Formats: sequence, structure tokens, C-alpha cells
Amino acid sequence: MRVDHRLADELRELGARNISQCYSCGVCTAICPLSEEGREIPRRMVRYAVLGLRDRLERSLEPWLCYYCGECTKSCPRGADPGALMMAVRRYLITRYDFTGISRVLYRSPLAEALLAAALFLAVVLGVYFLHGPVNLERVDMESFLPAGVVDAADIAVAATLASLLLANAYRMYRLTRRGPRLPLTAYITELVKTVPPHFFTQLRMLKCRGSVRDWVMHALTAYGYGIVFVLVVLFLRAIHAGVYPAAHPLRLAGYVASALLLAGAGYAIYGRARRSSVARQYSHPTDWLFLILLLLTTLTGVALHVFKYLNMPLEAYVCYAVHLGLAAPLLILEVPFAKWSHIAYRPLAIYFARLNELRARRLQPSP
Amino acid sequence: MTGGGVRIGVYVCHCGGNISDTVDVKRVVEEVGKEPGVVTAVDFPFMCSEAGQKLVEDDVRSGRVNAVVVAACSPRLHEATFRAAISRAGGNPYMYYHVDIREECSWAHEGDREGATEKAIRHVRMAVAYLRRAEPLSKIKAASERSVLVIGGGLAGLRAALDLAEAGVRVYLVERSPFLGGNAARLGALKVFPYGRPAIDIVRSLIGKLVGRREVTIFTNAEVEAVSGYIGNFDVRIKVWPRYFKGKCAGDLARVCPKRARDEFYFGVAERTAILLPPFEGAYPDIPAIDINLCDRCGLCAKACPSVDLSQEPQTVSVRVGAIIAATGFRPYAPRNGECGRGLPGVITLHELVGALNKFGGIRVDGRAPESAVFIYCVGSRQRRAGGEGANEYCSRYCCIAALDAALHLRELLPGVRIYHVARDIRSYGVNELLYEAAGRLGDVFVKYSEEAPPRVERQGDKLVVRVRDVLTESVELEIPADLVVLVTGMEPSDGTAAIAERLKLQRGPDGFLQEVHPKLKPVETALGGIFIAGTAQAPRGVAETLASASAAAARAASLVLRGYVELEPFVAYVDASKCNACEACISECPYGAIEIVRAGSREVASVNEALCKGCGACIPACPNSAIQLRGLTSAQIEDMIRSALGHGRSA
Repeated sequence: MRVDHRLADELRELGARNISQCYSCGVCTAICPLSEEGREIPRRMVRYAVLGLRDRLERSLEPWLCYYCGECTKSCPRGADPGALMMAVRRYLITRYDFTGISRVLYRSPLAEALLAAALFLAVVLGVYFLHGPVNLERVDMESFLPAGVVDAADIAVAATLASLLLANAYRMYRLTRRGPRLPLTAYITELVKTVPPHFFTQLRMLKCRGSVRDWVMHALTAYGYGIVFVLVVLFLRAIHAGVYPAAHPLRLAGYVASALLLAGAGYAIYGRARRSSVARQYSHPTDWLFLILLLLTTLTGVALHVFKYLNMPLEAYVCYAVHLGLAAPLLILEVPFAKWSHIAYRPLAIYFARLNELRARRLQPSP
Repeated sequence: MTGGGVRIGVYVCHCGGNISDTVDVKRVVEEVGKEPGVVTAVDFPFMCSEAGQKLVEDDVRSGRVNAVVVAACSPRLHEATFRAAISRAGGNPYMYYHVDIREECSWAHEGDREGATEKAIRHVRMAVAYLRRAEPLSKIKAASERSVLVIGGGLAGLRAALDLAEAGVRVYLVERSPFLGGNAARLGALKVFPYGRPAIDIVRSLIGKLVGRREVTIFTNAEVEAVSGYIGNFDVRIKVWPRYFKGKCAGDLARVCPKRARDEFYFGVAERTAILLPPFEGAYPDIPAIDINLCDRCGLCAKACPSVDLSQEPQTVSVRVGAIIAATGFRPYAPRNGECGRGLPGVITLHELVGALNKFGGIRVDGRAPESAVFIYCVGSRQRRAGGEGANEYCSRYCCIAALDAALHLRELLPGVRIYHVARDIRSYGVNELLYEAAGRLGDVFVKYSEEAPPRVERQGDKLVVRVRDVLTESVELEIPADLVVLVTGMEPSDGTAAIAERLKLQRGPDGFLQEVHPKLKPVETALGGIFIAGTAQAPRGVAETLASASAAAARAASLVLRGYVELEPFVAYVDASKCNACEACISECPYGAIEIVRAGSREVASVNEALCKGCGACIPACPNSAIQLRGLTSAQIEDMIRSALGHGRSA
């Protein structure tokens, strides 16, 4: 297997800055609460990285099974920071799964990333500017400014595109990581049901990390905050556009809860990264910042929009809406299929794929 | 003092319960107390304790006892302890016999109380029988020369010679090659970790301090031809080969010479002629020499320079010294052709890399700076002996560090170079760990191979490829492309080391290096009194350790010769002149040449040189008249002991 010295350099740019210090003692793997027999992490990944064994690394699901508690980094006697390596490998894998190549551009060039985000923002804002309906300055009339039908159509188009991109990437992930013979169809289905939904809705595996309860709570709040917003936008956009509701109305309440959760979650993450409050937040890649900042700004503009609407400040509300959509566009279009947010698919799928590989390996074993 | 004059005290130790749990010490005391000559017999929990020693001292001091038996542990542990106690009390330390009733009785026969006790009694009886015929002895004093011969003008020899000279000892330094400096000088401009001083600086400063000192005589291009004598008094014959130069020459004389050979100073990476110029600034001596084995006496150089004198003859010099330090150094392991790619272009040894860096200031392969280099470790070290084949089983100790050092040096010269270390282990012990850490920090990659699967080096197009199974990565076979492969070669004893061992009859270990008596108790002493070892002649080691061992050897040699005399154990042969008829049978048996025939009045008799005799006893059975005996172990004593062991000795 040919060694490739460039891989270590690439991973260094993605955050694995000290990994060449590793002398393979294996303390990281011994201490890792998620390492298990046959899926030892992180030392093995470190070796692949240092030696530049791209194939081996790309075939590995292990990086997704790590939830970055940072125990390995804390216990590393050489300061090689294996936790950062695992994170860098996840970033690297995102670029490898993505067939469009956009992901690689985002991760390699912060400038390109910023330009793309800006371009999407401008496109949406200008699109709204040129295409919006009649502007009612008497009262806030979203429905005439930007009919829900139009937004919904755009939403569906974007969602369909992003979903197919993400699924295509996930399929590449499957192809890269599949090891062993075909399984019966029922196995694929039962394992899918057993692994993906539970993790998707709970992220319980994260709790296996020591001292991660607070991180898990904050992550879940953010996820559920987004989940509520997603439901509101997809199912109730028309109602939200059209009506003015009393404060205790379920739609308003749901909106408040979701906003609070998102603000808390994004704020917690941003504050932690700025302060480098834990091992996992020592190093932030530009894509991490872009994701969090866009998430925060999108939420804030959403809140502002609501305020303007209920204070009856039409012009402000329309402008705010345009900006809100302008921010949501790069947040979704760049991050979901190509960058950080793709973990929404890769994390649960990795557990599923790993389980399938386990079953395949079992089939390969001679019967007793 | 014989017969009735001997008053023996027997002291039997319990050693906690180590002895007394198995041996009935009370019975031992009771039985041996009945022996003629025994005036007191007691037992004690710990004889080696202060109180136990005091028992002996008090009895000796009071005059009650003048010969002592302690029955305790092995004499290796405490013989010296009780000899010293007797001396302190004013007795003669050789009126002593140490009986081992622990290792030889209680431990060997655990569970057989009766048998162990009986054996202990017999052993003590033998000791008593021995002492009944013992005589007070004293150490033999022999005058010693206040001078030392240092063999080898490398780092160790230079350091030892300088230490001795600074202590005021006369030093003769003999170097086989035409210039001082040895292997360390060949490291040249390479910095030697730690403290980053170039190796050549260390060598140069030692030479600078040594040359010109009154106490020091330096022979280069010279060999120790023969050594005779003994500790304190060695006669040394030195052969000084001609340099064929009377003085210096102007201009680049070496070019005149048409002959060519590999230049050893640069580990063979460059060529030289038969004219050997001083290889570095500050070399000693600063006049050239001719490699006469290469020279065909064409005379071109003599025409070019009037200092050339091809008529010079070898000279022999004799000196007398009190001690000898062998500092004859190492030679780099030379890989077999095909061993780890040896012979392929781009595959060199660590020493050759050092030579190239010094000679050319860098390294180029096929005219290009290498983009990637692979260091393969343990080439010629830690080999497994298979089917009687010679193999270097030892770790050469310096090479991991030297390789890391060289790799860092290479990276300084070629900042973008990719370096792979293919190693069994990295043994960068002590402060050298910093080198390993630095290499890691700078991105060097470490791969671990196992002994069973050594790396293979192949040529693929214009690149080398190292194939190796990485133990740290599921033993997957890696393919490492390389422009340069450096075989990290270990140390072997130099030819000079082998030769001097032969000439001085020094013991060599299984690896061929000179062997010390004991790695901890006598780390720089050889089995031959007065001969010490320094540096890599003893074992592979780095610069700092070489210097330390040289200073240690110098200190031991100085403490020996500066006293002006040597003290030797009295257990040597002596001749009863009245029985000797000078048949010379003993002379041919003596392995040390310690016996000679001398005139004693009107007749000739054999005489033992006590300083030369090692007390081996080979001469004793050879004597038809029983005229030669070993002091402290006479035939009569041995016979008595045997009789006593068999239970017949009570009536002596």
C-alpha cells in the first residue's frame, strides 16, 4: 500500500496540527469510551493519517463513531491531539463523500466559502427585491409581499435538491465503507429501523462520552429547535404568513420555543468555541464558524421578523424577511450536503453501515 | 605460627532463618567446638550485622582467637567483610576461612535438616583443618611505573591521555593511522547532540590541549607490537611506521599522485591518493604521510616536494609503563551486498551519509537533491544468530540517536524533504528523547518493522521503493517511495580492537568487543591487572558515553600508577629452594611466564615472580619434588581438608 505524504498535510489544514507527534503508544485508544474491539479508535486512524493510507481512511466508518469527548487528547503523552485528528478526518471524509467537489472547495478555501455564501445571500435578497409582490405599507402583509405558495415551492425545490445531493453523498459513503458480502434484504431494513431513527432523534451514542451530558442536552435542544422550525416552515408557512395570532396561540408558542432553543444552542456553541472551553472546541475550522454564525443570524432575523410583524412595521418586516431568507439559503445549501450539517445524515448512517459490516463479517466466519 | 599456635574461633550465622530453619546451627557449634584448635564456637542471628562483626573483632582483639571461620552465606557476599573486621581488630586477614552454609547447605537441601546439618559440620571442619596449617600472609607490594600507555588516538584515547597528563602521569599515546582523531573526527562538522557542538570541535580541542604537553609522547602511524610484564611494570614495544615525509609541503601535493583509493576519512564516499594530507584543520601531526600499501614508489611526489623521503625505515621504540588503556575503537558495520538494498544506487549507510555531508556539504542522488529519504534502522544490530552464522545480536546503542540527528540535519539542509524512519524500535534514551520529539514535530514518519519481516528495498524506474510491514498499522505492507535510503548501521569492534585483544591476551565478549571484569563492579578493568578499556573498544556507545568511559579508565589507571606501587593478593606460588633441582617442569606449565631459573648460591633453582603469578596452581602438580607450593593453599592444607571432610581429620 503506497504511502502518501500529502494526506497528513491535508489533514493538518483540516485541524490535525500535531498528529505527527504520535508515537503510537495507544493510550488514546485504551481510554476512548467508544472504542470497541474491531473498531479501535483513534490510534488506527492516526496511523492511516500519518502514513497517508487514503483508501484505508476512506473505508473507515470509525471517525463517525467518535463524538469528540476529548479524553484521547487529554491523555495523549505527546500532545498529538488525536481528537482533533478524528475531527479533521470527519471533515476530510465529508469532502471525499461529496461527488460534486464543492465540499472540497469549501473546506480548502475559506475565501471561496465566504464568496459562495455571499453570492447565495445576494442572489436570494436580489431575487426577493426583483420578484416580490405588492408592498403593503399599511400593515404587514407577507402573503402579498411574498406568497407562501412561492416560498413553499422554492423550499421544496431546495429541499429536494439538497436531499438528493446528501443522499447521493451518503450512497458514496456506503459504497466506500461497505465490506463483505451481500445481506438478505430484511437485514437491511430491520437494521435501518433499529439504528437510524433512534440515533436521529436522540443522538444517545453521544452520551457514552464521559462528561458529555451538557453538550448532549445543548445539541439536542438545537436539533429540536431546528426540527420545530422545519415543521413550522414546511407545514404552516401559509398560516404564519396570513394570520395575526394571540400570544398563547400554538403557532406562536412553537415559534418562541424553537427560537429560544436555537439561540441557546447556537449561542452555547459559539461562546464555547470562542473561549475554547473544551478539547472539542480548541480548534474551529472556518466551516464551523460559518455554520454557527449563519444559524445564529438566521434565527435572529427570524425573531426580528416576528417582532416587526407584531409591532406592525411593514417595511422593516419585508427587508428583514429578505435578509432572513438570504441567510437561510447558504446555511442550508452549503452546509447540509457539503459541510458541517451533513453529519445529520452521516452520523446515523455510519452506525447503520457499521452494523451491516458487522453482520457481513459474521457471515464470513466459519460456522461452529 | 603452626600447630598449637593457631587459636580458631568459629562463628555460625543463622541468617535470620535462612540458615537456621534448615541447618541445626546449635549442633554445628557443638560439633565443631570439639575440634582441636577451636577455642570458641558460637552462633549468632546475623553475623554480618555490626554486632556480629563485633563478636569476631572482640575475640581477635583480646588475643583469644587468631584464626577465624565464619559459616554464613556465600564468600562472594561477605568474605571481604570479615577479612576487614579481622584487620580492624589487629589480626591477619588471611587467617580466615569463609564457609558457605546457606547457598550450599540450607538452600540446597531445604527439607533435609539432618543432611544439611551434617554437610555444614563437615564444611566447617574442613575450614578448621585449613586454618590449622594457615600462616599469616600479607599483600605483595611491587613498584609501579608512573606512566601509562594509551592505545588508540580516537576520542577515547585522546580524552584518557589528556586526563592522565593533567594528573601528572607520563603518557604514551599510540595511534595506528597517520593522524589522531579516530572515528569521531570523521563525524566532522556534524553537531553531536546534545549541546550542538560539531564533533570535530571536540576532537580538535582535545588534540590542541594534548599536543605539546611535556608528559605526553604521541606516536602516530604506529602499532603496539608486543607487551610483556605485569601490572605496574609493562614493557611495551612500539613499531612506528615511516610517514615518508620529513616535513610539510607547499601546494596541493596529493594531486601529483596518480594512485587512487576510497578515502576512509569520508567513509569511502570520496577518493584519495596515496598521499594522506592532514584531514582537517588542527589535525596532528600536520605533516602528510604516504599510504605505502597503495604507493608504487613512482617518485612523482618526491620530485614535486623535497620533504618526501621514500627511504625512511620503520622504527621500534620500547617504553615501560605501569598501566595500559586500550581505546582501539569500532568500525561501522558493513552491510552485505543485497542487505536492505545495499548495492542499489541511492542506498547508502549512515556513515556514508555523514561522509557525504562533510565532504560535499549536502547529499545528491543522481545529481538531484532527494525529496524523500528512508532511514532503515538496526542494520547490522540486534540480528539473530541462525545456524552458527556470525551475527551482531547486540543493540549498537548510538545509532537511533545518530540517525535522528542526521535526519534533522538533512531536514535543515533540505527543508521540504520527507523522512521516513523504518525502525524496530526507537531507543532515544535520556536527553536524546528530545531528538525523537523534534523529528516527530517536524513531520518525520515512524514505521515499525518486526524482526521476522525486515524491510526490502527495490528499484522501480528511477525511484527506490522500500517495502515494509508496519507493525503499528495492522502489519499492512507499505510501499514507501524514496530517493535516498540510509541504512542505519551499527558498530563492530575495529580491526585494531581485535588485534590488540590478540596481542595483549585480553578477553573479548561474544560480540568481539573487549570485555570488562564486571559491568558494575569493575566496569573499565580487564581480567588482566593494570589493563583498562575505554570507549567503543568495549561496547558500542555515543560520544558522551565514550568520553565518560575514557575518563573513568584514566582515573583508574592514574590511581594505580600514581601510588608508585601495586598491592597484589598473596595467593601466589613459592619455591622451596632446598627441594628444587631446576628441572624447569614448572616453567613450561606456567601460562603467565612468572617462573624463571635463578642462581641461589652455588646452585640454580626456580623462582616465582610474585607480581606476575596469578596463583592458578598449574605449576604445582608439574613439580616432581613438590618443591613448588601455593601460598595460602598448600598441598598439605588441601590434604587435611579432604581428610577432614571424610571424617578422618580429628587427630591432626
